Amino acid sequence: MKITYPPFGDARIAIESFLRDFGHEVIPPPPSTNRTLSIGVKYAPEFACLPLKITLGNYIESIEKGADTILMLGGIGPCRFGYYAEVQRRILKDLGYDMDWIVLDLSNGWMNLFRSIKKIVNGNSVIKVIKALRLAWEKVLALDKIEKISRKARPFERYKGEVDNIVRETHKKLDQAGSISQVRQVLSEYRETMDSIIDEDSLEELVKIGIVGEFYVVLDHFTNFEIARRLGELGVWAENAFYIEDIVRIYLPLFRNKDIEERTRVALPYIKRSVGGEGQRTVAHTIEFAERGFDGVIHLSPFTCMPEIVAEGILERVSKDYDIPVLTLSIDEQTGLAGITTRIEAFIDMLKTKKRRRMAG
Amino acid sequence: MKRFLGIDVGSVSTDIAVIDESGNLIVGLYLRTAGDPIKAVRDGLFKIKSQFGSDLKIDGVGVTGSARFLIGAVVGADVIKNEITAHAVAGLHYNPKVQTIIEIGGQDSKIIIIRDGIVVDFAMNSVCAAGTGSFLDHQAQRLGIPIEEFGDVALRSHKPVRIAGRCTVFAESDMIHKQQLGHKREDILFGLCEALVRNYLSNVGRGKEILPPILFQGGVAANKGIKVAFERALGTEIIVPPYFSLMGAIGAGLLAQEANIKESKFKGFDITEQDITTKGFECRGCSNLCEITNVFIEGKLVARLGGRCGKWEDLDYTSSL
Repeated sequence: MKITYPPFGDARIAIESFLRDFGHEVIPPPPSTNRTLSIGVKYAPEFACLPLKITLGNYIESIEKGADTILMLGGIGPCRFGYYAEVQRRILKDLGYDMDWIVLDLSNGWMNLFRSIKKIVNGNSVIKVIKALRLAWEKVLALDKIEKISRKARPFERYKGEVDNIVRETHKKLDQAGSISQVRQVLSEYRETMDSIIDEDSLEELVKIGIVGEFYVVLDHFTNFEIARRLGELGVWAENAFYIEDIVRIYLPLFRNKDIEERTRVALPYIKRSVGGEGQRTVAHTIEFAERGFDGVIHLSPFTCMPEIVAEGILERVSKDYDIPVLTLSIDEQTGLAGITTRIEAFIDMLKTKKRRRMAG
Repeated sequence: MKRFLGIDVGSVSTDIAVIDESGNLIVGLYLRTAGDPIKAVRDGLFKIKSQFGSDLKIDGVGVTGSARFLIGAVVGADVIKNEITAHAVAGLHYNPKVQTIIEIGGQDSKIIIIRDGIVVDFAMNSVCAAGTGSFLDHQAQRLGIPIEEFGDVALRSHKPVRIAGRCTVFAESDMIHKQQLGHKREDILFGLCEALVRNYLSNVGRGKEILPPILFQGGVAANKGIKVAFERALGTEIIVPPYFSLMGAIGAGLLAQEANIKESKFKGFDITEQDITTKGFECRGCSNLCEITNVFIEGKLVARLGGRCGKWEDLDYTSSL
């Protein structure tokens, strides 16, 4: 069994080492490039959302590297995402790729789920499973911390690409870390390096932006045109509304906790129930950023994503009520980088001028 | 007297302005980009050079527009800024009380909302270029009317026809349909103006509080038909600044002036006579596969654009070429 998986953002590092621990031969999907996107766009239905197209491209590139098994989530909801596995399975089948799918389908009865989990577990003992899960979880938490700290450091980097280089090296070490203590060691070394870059006294003067929206577009650097790096280079401290940990907690019941629902409550005056995907959460997170005194919010939405379209309409009101500027960027394969760059730059110029005026009194 | 050069390189036109330190226009040029931004800028600078001589001192250069990074590298820009900021700065300089700027150019249309002298909101056309200059150009051509006379002809209309303006292709079929029904040319033209304004207000201007004073900038502001259609739709006066088509360039010049530059990076007017070439390659240093563009002046590498990391910014770096 040569297994591959749909990558999103840095989560790939945790997923890969987790599968490796169970003795699987892992074929990591090659990093997404324009080629990945072109392949996905070519074979996916035109109106499918961008994440389906990109992950389809990822699968095909992994298949070219020898993968024969795909691990994926599936089932009912949270939006069209629930159908991805089945749609992608059929597309690949039509293309002549008869893959073995391990779909963690949370809505199709425990027996089904159990069979999938059994395949992943690969005959390992319960103790080994728990150990691997704990290590993968530690890596998820570390990845999130690395990302968060990099956002703070980028506005202060001494030369272009400095932070990216350090992050890349740290990811490599994290991938190799075989125990929780090694993970912590990697993280503390990283922290130390970053502390020497970050100018704590000037943090307050930075324009702060919150990023909200659909989880794949928010977390996958290739898909969102590396928005965090772009903002950092413009001297902006950008925080996400959520990182990998939150997405695992939202979509895998085993990790679910109360905070997720609790955080959504602030959206209730505007939107009473879930509209699928991150729609309701997008509204909640925007309010959260406004209340935390952020200067602006960037809302990322894959083109044709219904939950985010609903949220976009509501954000106009939230923006007025809470006096927080919101820039919605709708992203798909047709999106031009020039248009995104111009909008982001203009948005930042606007926030900087406002902030300067406010700080001047 | 200090002089600042502002360049706005857009999809359709390239505008160049030289302003003095108070923002007064010394010379302004409006040229067609015609798919070759470097040539357009060289032609423009050549004209300025012929008029003022090559020792005209420039104290700062600002570049805006979609080709701002390339042209910024070619001319040696001190400030490289997006079009929205440039237009806002120029609009505010012309009328400090302005609250709304409508800007319609070759392929872009924007709205900028200003309160108390600062930008508080903006929007750009997102999915479609209906209602921008290129479309008007095309329709004028099809009806055999020089684009310069479009507005005057449209204003002769007494009974404008309703044209479907949501999409340029459908607008065109609808116009043809109305022609076949025997409607007058001016009625169709003004109908088109109204359709474009409707489209602008419901897309770009959606949800925005459009308050006077309203400035109308960009090449399309030359079209009196569109101006009148905006006035009727909004029920208020629309101000078209005298240098409406140069506002982006003037804004870029003003940004250079505000930047307090000690010594400009401007490469001088000599570049109009030098050989400028570009050559692209794909960097295979990592999975990003950046498209790097090398810019050469007289065969000498002067800039590299397009890299996401810093390594190509060091011009001596050649390892994995």
